[in-house]
Amino acid sequence: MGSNGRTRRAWLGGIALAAFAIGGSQVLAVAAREVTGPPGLPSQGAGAELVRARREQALIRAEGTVTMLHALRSAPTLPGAGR
Amino acid sequence: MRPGANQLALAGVALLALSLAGLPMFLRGDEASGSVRGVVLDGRGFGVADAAVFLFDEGRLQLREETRTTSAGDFAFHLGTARARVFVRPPESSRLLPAWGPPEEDAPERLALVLRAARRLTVEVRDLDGSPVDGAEVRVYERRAEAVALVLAETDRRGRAALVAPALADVAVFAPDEPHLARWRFDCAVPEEGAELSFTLPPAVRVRGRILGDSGALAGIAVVAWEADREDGWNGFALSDGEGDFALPITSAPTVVRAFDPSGKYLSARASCESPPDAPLALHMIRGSSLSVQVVRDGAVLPSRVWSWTPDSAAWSVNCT
Repeated sequence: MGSNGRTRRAWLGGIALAAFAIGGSQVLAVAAREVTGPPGLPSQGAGAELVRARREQALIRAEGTVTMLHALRSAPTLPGAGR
Repeated sequence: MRPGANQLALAGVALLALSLAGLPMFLRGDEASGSVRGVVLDGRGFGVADAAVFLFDEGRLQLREETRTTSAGDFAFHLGTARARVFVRPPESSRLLPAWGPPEEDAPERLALVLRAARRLTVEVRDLDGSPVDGAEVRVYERRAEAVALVLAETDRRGRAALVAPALADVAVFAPDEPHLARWRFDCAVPEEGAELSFTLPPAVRVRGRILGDSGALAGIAVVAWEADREDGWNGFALSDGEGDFALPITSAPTVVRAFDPSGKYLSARASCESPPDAPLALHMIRGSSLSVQVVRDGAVLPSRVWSWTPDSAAWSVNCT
């Protein structure tokens, strides 16, 4: 009886381990697919491209501040300059 | 009194009432349109005295008024402006960085501008032969909530410029001659003791092009040119004009030209060239479909930046918030 119980527990443990392993591998497969990306979705190189695009767009938006600093260089003294 | 005199008296009273009512309304209107005030502080919370403070109209990119801070660091402007933006330049002796106030839509009623410690940055610019480049424009940008240009300078006859910079900066150098080729260093860490950067500006030519959409030329499209596979090789950028035309500096190296629509209606486009093309470039942009994205966590909607990838042109669209 004691031996039967151990056997059953061993079987149950084995089944649970197998289920966990299969489930885990499925999770890993999904995670791996998200990292590499299926065809048509951004690849790893797209990550670097995104960094570049974000920089570009931010710095292009900053062009207004460049124009205003240029205006400072060429500006004559304006009202209130002496305080 | 005669009827004519009565009418005259009544008209006079009405005119007086109108002028009395109109004067405060006029004054109130002027104040509401933007009397900007605030304080300039250092990192310890002390007021920065004698800093130059500039009031810009950000819509027109025009300087409106200029003042200096009091001994307590306070400042106030008297003129109103539609889209007020403040820039502070502290005295050189303070060893503090200049700073921009927030855009008007994010600005509180009374501004508090905290200036951080400035770090020394020396930039040296040479051409491909190793000769110093005189008159190159050097720009120091800071990227925090938004990117801003903090400092502009020009190289001297030795090809050198001395500036101040934050601890982390983007630095750009623009050639003095047409077509003003640029070279960049992104995310430059500037240590407390200062840093020195060297740039090399290769020769470049101006290449023209046109942005075309489904129904003709597109205006207001941002176009960028990069030397392929060079981290610092952002040659420059331009906006297409009313005819869809643009011009960009291109070197003799392989180059990628990308176009994106700041309004987010058109998908990004890309063109590659091994050397400067003889004929004008033509970039065709396809109008994208509208896509709504909502990011939710625990039932609450999160404000997010969303980008979309266009596989055909291998480019990202403008992000939307």
